[in-house]
Amino acid sequence: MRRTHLLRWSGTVLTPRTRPNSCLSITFAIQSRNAATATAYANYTPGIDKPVEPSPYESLPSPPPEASRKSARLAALHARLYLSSRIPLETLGRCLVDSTADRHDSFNNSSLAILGNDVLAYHTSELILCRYPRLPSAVILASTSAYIGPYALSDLAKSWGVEAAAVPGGEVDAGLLQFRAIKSDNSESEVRAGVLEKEGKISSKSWKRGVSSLMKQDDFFGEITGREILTPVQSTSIESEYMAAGPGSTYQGACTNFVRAVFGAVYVHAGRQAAKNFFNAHIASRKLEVSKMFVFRAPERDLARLCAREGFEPPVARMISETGRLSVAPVFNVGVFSGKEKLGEATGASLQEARFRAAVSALKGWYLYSPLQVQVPSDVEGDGSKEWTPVLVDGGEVVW
Amino acid sequence: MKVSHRSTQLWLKTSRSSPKTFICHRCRCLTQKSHFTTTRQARASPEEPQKPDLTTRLRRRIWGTETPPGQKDPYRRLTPEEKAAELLEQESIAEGKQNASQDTATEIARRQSAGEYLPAQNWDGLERIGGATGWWEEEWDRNNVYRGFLTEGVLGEKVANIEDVVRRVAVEILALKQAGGALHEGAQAEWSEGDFMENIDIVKNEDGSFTLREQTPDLIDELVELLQRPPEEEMEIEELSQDIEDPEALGAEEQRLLDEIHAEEEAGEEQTLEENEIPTVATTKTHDPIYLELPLTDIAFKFALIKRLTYLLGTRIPDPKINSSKTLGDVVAYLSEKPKPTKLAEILREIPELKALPNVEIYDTKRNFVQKEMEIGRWKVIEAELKKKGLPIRKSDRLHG
Repeated sequence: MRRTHLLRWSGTVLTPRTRPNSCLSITFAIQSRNAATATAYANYTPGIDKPVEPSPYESLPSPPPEASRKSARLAALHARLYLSSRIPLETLGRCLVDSTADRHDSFNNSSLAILGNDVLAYHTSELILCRYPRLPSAVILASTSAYIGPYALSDLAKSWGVEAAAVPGGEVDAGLLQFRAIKSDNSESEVRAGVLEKEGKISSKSWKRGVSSLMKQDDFFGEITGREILTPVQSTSIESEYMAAGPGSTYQGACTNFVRAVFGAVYVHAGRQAAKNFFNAHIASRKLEVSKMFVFRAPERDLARLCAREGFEPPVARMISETGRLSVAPVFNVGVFSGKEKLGEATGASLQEARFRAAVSALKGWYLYSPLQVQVPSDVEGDGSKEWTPVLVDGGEVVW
Repeated sequence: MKVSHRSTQLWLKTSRSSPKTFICHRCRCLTQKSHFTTTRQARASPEEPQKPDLTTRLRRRIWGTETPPGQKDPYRRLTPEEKAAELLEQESIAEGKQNASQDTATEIARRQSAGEYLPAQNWDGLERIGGATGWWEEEWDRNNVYRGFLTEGVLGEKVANIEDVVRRVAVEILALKQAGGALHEGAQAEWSEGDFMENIDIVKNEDGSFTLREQTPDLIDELVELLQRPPEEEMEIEELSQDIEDPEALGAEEQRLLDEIHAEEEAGEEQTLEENEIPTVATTKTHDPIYLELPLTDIAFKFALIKRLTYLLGTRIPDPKINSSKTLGDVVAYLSEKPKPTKLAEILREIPELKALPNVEIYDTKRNFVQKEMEIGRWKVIEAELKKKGLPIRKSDRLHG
């Protein structure tokens, strides 16, 4: 298998860091000092009588590269992740700066995050597809989201011990995650990947949302794109008053971008194999119960269609055993047979339930087929010494 | 009231002599011949050579001589002339001369002519200290800054190659010793580098003594001449520069001196160092470290060395260090040693293991509230909000409103 040329894409990421003055667009709307006499002595900075020198970097939106060498947090994070010494501290510092903190793309993690997202998506999708070749699309999307979706990546960032700065700025420690925070006024279940849904309603047309639509139009996880995103609904926080209005991000969104940027940085500086190893260590090692991700509405019909397509005999549900039919807790053991072969078996409290579960079991048995030796395409990338065994290509989902 | 038999005696006495007049016991005692032997009268009255008084006898016994030291009459305050005479006598007794008191006048005359120490009879010609005269010049006049011995610090406290300075000072004193002059008198002489630094070596002889060896002939003599030159010319120029205010009134000689001063100042400005540069004494040659073994047992040599060094460096060397220095190497070692760091942060920064750890940050002071908030970026927001509400930000802001 030919080596993929992802390394070429990383050229824009490694351009020299120049900061033209015109790009500094974030100005602090500091009000002029009030000359009115102070009448109320509120509880403020206790014991601060000695003059504290202001940092020379206060006017910058994010810390300069030389600040990365002085930060103990950053060095500790680098060591904690066992990152190769080929990945400089300055790059890791750049990964921690979100685009909402610094709009200049040479100093934030947006380019590295895009690259890292592609790296993650590539490795995750090949893993899922090669492990479960017959998995339906919706489950593929869901399991991809479970591996590298915003929830998973923000959990990962937290487990890496990344702390967030209160307010981004040039004087902030280079080891803190910097982003301009916005209040998420909706419940967590409605916040997706930094997307705020207005008033908790799905504003798109639901009749259009078939599986094909998910694959074609929406983003990698099947989430709807193109909505009102990333604008504060009500800016009551002091930070949003203090700083000029601009896009903000949730903590989850910032963590997600950071993890993606780290993967991008590993790919750029340490190479393809190092990125794959990093992925295996942090993402692929996580356990995902794919069998619990299925939702069936009419499994018996799906099974019938599947058998017709594959040329099996039509499935028949037969009771295998039962007990306590007239009692309060009956147990029916039902099997689904295609001819003489049992496709699936399950128990239930009623015949219908048992039949349902048996059909589900049969379908899961079909969809969750996994080869004994899982080989992914990236395993054979390189000098061509390894042999590629073709993966089963499924006929597709059951579509009525 | 106790009735003593004395009262009856009194009465008896009075009754015998004159029955009408009464004289009390006290008055009677006063009229009688005194029994105290320490009164002036008793001493003043020339009596027959009898036993000397108790004090004299005790002193003679204590000292073991007929003429114990100290005043003949220790309880009498002497006049200045008597004091001078006493001192002279004691000195002559100590030296073993006889008939000392007779030579006092001649001794005074001799000392006056020789210029030796002589206790003054009165205050004519003596230096006056204190009083109102000269208070402006001493206390307030900026042109009349007190220049002490250590104020100059010709080379300054921090010299990069201190061992070269010490070696050169040892060379100077050895040169003076060879020339036979007083060793410590060259302490405030001019300091000039160049030949003197490089071309004179200290060598150790077979018998253990140290002598000088010059590469260029007559170099040692030049050095001695430089050291023995009296530093008077500089004083004159300084006084002159203060008085010059009206340039039109300058004469030819004064103009020449003024030009000299300006030339010196310009030369001085060129030599000023940059801020962080440590001055280095100019020498290119590294000398044989045998000079470090030069012993400092000769007190005059040691004194001269320490005096010259403290003058050049402008700092004192503590007495214990002076006393414990037995060789030139000890002096060099003390002057070269780096002062111990006073702050914990400085000590920590010198530990190599800590230096190598990138995840450790060392600060000079404890992080206070503001600094912690600045680290996470929140301080600018707090400050802006306080300003917006018109609240003081620091404790000191309260007072100034």
